[in-house]
Amino acid sequence: MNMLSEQEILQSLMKWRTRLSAAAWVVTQDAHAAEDIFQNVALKAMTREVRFETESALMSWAFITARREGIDWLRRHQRETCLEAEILELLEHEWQAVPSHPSGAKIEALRECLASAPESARRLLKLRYFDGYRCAEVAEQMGIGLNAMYKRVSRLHESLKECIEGKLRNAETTGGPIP
Amino acid sequence: MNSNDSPHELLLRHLDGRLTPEERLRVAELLRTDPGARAFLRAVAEQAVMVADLERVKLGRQEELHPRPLRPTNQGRRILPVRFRSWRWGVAAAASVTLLAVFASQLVPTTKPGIVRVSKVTGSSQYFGSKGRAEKALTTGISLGAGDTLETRSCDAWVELKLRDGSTITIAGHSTLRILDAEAGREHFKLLQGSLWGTPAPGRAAEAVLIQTPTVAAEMRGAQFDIQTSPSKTMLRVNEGSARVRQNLDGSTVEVPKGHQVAASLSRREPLAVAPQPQPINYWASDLWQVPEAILGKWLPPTGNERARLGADPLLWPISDRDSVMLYAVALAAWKSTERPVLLQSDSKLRFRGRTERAQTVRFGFSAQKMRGVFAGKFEVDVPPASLRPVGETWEVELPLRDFRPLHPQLASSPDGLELTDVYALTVKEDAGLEIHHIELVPPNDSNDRSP
Repeated sequence: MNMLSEQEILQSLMKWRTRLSAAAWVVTQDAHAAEDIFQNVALKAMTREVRFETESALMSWAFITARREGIDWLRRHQRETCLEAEILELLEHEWQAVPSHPSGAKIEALRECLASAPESARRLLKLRYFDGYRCAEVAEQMGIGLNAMYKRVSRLHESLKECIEGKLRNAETTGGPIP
Repeated sequence: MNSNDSPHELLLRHLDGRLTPEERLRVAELLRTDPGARAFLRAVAEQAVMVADLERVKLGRQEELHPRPLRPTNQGRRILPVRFRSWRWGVAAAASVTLLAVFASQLVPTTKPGIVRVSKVTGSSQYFGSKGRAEKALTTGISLGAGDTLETRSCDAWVELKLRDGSTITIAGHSTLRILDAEAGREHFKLLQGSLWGTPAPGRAAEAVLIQTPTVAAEMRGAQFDIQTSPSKTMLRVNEGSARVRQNLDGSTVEVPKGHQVAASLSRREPLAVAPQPQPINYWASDLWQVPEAILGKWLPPTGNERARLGADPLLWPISDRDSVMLYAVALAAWKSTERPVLLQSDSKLRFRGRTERAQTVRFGFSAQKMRGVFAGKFEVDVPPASLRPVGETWEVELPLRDFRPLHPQLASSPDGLELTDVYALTVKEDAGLEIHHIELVPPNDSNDRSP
């Protein structure tokens, strides 16, 4: 059987970019580290340190490599792993089992969903996930109680999830604007 | 914790690091048993990285509109600059054309005299001459010069080179070494991948030798040393003498004295750090699912029972005066999963878990070096198909090291006291659909069942 070509590897990695970065984020809980880790995974795949017959083989390797890089990052930053290996494996398994929309389409859907969300929701997400503040610090900056903050973040993630899925479904059925 | 917390809020508190040990156990149980909780965590993680992506794009656009870099002044201490690590893609592209560059550079004729002589050859090797000709095989006694590139191709291969001052350089299976132009009188090599051992000439002052890898450049001064390298990672250990090592990524330079080691990885954006060579361990596991970095093999899709499967890759094994033979091999390096030397003891056992699609003899082997010393040869044992049953299902074999035969008894007749460098499994001529899931070195009298 032929091995995946460099171009096919790159295409698959870019399609799965959000999930691979998310898997790294679950370990590190740092979006910038997760992006770095995704790039490291891509680098290793592209420099031909390993070869892959199929996309599922590539993804099996990529998720394991992302986790390993995440654990290495935690060690270097003297932080503890927050989830057991068994749970990380379950999450990775589910990520690989469910068909994935291309990362670009998901990000475009999120952009559209955020555009219709209140400014305070966008600020909250930026403070929490881009600037790296904990919820308690975000709550303080936004003048909200901590319990209310957790409820708000929880609701926000749920509604974004529904919104993104709705837009992706809509794009599938109508051939709409999301690529 | 608020007792009215929903599972989702509990997970968010967990991500915030605000739970007691008891609550953390509750979260672990929730994630183990509740697919809905895991789906929520996956959604949070995906949204987190996508939000960061969108912010990076936004910040990038602002920087385009304002040529002077934006330096937020009133935002928090945790703000990180936009970091598109384009160098990594450059490295990837460069690596993918390395071999092409090697071939292209060899089209330039050279009249340089040989600077090294091949003193020993075992197994399948070949070299690409500086005039662009791919030679079939290396033979003892030939001289090589700048521009020549050597490849040790089979698992059992190794090549020893004698330098002009009497020092020796050895490369072992699956290694690629290029001879470069001497620099200020110092002999100069590039190890593109694999393992290399250097030994100064006994009883005389050795000249410095320059060794480049994809990640470091090292000046070895009268050093007995070994280097293991892949396209993105290098481990260098100095056992005698000293070395000056510069990391290609950031130019950081360190002195590595006797008994110390240094590791460089493109994944880590950190200056080089020298550390004393750690004490050896006598237990080692391949942990493919944690360190999925093989030196030979193809990654296979996961199955219900096995998430990490490394399949045998075809490998042409040219034999002098005979037809070439096809091998189907899997190989793993010990150094990729541990920075500690792995001690082999004669009463230790190697345990392999794997699968074959067709009944066939499988050859298991390993390479070794003297503990903190030079290359010490390879050891192999053939296991008949009757011991690898049932065909098509997962099997496990446990092989005492004393059953492995030395391929180079002149180097070491027994593995006892040596250091493990890599482990391999292969079938000869026929593809048996060999795959390896796990390899473990079990020390003598090991009472702990560490079987995964």
